[in-house]
Amino acid sequence: MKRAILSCNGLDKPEGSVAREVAIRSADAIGGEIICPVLLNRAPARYKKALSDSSLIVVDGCSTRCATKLATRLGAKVERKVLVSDAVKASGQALESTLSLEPNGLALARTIVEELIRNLNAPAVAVEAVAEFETPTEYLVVTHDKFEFRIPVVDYVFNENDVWARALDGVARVGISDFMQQKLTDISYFDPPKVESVVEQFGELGSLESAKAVFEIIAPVAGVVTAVNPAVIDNPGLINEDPYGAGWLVEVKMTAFPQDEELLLDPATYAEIIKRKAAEE
Amino acid sequence: MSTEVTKVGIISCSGEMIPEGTISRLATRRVLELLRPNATVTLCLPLFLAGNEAEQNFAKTHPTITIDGCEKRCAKWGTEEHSGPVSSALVVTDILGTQAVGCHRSSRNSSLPDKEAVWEVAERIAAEVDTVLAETGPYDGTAAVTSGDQCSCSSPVPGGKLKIRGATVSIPGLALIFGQCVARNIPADTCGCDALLGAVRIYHRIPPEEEADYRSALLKAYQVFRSGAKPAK
Amino acid sequence: MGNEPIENSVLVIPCSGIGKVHGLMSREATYLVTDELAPRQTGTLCLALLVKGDDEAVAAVRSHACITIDGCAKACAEKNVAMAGGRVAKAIQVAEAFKNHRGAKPGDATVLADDGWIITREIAAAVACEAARLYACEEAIR
Repeated sequence: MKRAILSCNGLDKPEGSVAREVAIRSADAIGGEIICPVLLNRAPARYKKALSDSSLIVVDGCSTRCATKLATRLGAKVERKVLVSDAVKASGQALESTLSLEPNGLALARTIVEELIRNLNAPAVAVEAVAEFETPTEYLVVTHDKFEFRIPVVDYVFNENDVWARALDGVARVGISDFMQQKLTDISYFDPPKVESVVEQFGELGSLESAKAVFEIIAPVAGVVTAVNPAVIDNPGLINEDPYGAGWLVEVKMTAFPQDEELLLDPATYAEIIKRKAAEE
Repeated sequence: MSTEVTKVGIISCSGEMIPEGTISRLATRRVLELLRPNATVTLCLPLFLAGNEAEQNFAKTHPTITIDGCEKRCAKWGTEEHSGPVSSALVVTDILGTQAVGCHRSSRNSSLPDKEAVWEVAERIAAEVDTVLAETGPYDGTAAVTSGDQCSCSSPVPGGKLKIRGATVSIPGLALIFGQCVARNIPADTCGCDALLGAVRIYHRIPPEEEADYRSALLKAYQVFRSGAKPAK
Repeated sequence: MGNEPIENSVLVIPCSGIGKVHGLMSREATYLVTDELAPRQTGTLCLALLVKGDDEAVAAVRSHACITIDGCAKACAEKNVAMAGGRVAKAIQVAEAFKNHRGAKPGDATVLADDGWIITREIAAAVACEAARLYACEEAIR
């Protein structure tokens, strides 16, 4: 089986240096092609053949998981994932605080590669997909009068009904936008959909209630509901506090994502829609 | 500050202890919802003082009018402390004098004197809004009265512009003038034209050769305004 | 009718947020408590005066038990009373009260509707109970 290895760029952390070392050693050990994340991001066509012909191993330094996100965004089939920061914790040995590899970092890289090779030929254990979504850190800001509406710039797509979706490993996490949570003001109820229910794109995914209005959550993607955020059931105010992070509502295992995405809006386009909506109110 | 300012921030004191605080609050809401909906934004003083950046930033980049219940002037102080000088600072006790005696803090006890006090203060705030906008930039706050323009409480948007011989003429405070005409029971028909013209003439020069055009334009705008305004007593 | 703090009275301080119905409810609930339900045991004071550092207001919150009524989780009243060194004996959030009133239409930031008054009275009743308890404790200590 042909394999390719994509590691994160990780120039600012020791874990990034370890990730790079893991990628190089793995490629040597198994004869895989190394994929440069910067070039992949800039010119994905360059690696089109490699990604379609090979099974991809992704190595991330930290929980930001830049390489995993890049691979997912490009629809690559990921065989294995390595997270160096988890390996650091498991080893119980702290890395040196320098960016160049020191003895601990080198030893860890060797250990990770050995385990990776050992596991490559073993059958992959089917595990429950756990969506590992991190809170966004970069936003577009739309200002109207004294109001500021934030829109994450990476990984989020929106429908015109102010609902966002964020895809990872075939699962979409869904929530409402900052614009909508401000419009609703303090949310007091979340009526979720049933887990395992099937939803069409633009179908209903439950509703929210505030003192101002009842809001039907319009599904941005089609699929099967796999999870409802229990934190939000107990404390709907989380949706107002952190609409793109802890205030997520539902997870959906997608059944038609590449097609569904064509009808969704990227952050910049959604920003224009918010400007228009805010001006009309 | 922007050279094309079209909105004024209004900060009312919270004034829980005295009726003037309630009057200040309700007058601010009246300006926001009815008198100058397109020209004003209200800033929440408690949020402002608690450090809310959006509220404070707006006050830094737009002109502000503070309205305080009493001479302690908490809203003025808070705005100057966190965002900078205010364009105008009003005090309810200065505007109403002894008129606020007998007014109530809670709306449960609200009666006509409470409402009249609120209306008077609201009109004063609205006049300040017009003055501030006239001084700071083009007053583009309100469109000509049309039935399609409504604020969130479905009241008509008061007009500030008329079409006179094909040109758009801006009359700052036109809604305020119309409000006064309603209060004086000036009818919205040809019988009221002289009085209407006279009321506008106090605030806006009407060239003699355009008087007939102003008559018909003002009458139409006044009719639309009255169709959504509260009836005079 | 001024409700200047009297000795040992409990101070009920609302946020009075002007932008949402919750702020109006906090204010009206306060007046229900100080004017109707527990006039002898409670008083109120202006939050902005406190933040301004008015000597009397600061002294009052430091020497009286305070119950804050906030419209929402931003908790402006609770935070500002605490920052002024006041004793927040109980912090209420109006938004929480809505959890027991599905489908309620409370009105808007200018005027309360019937549902809004129902919820406001519930909040006021709870605050009055707590104020009476605190007042009794203070009296017992005297």
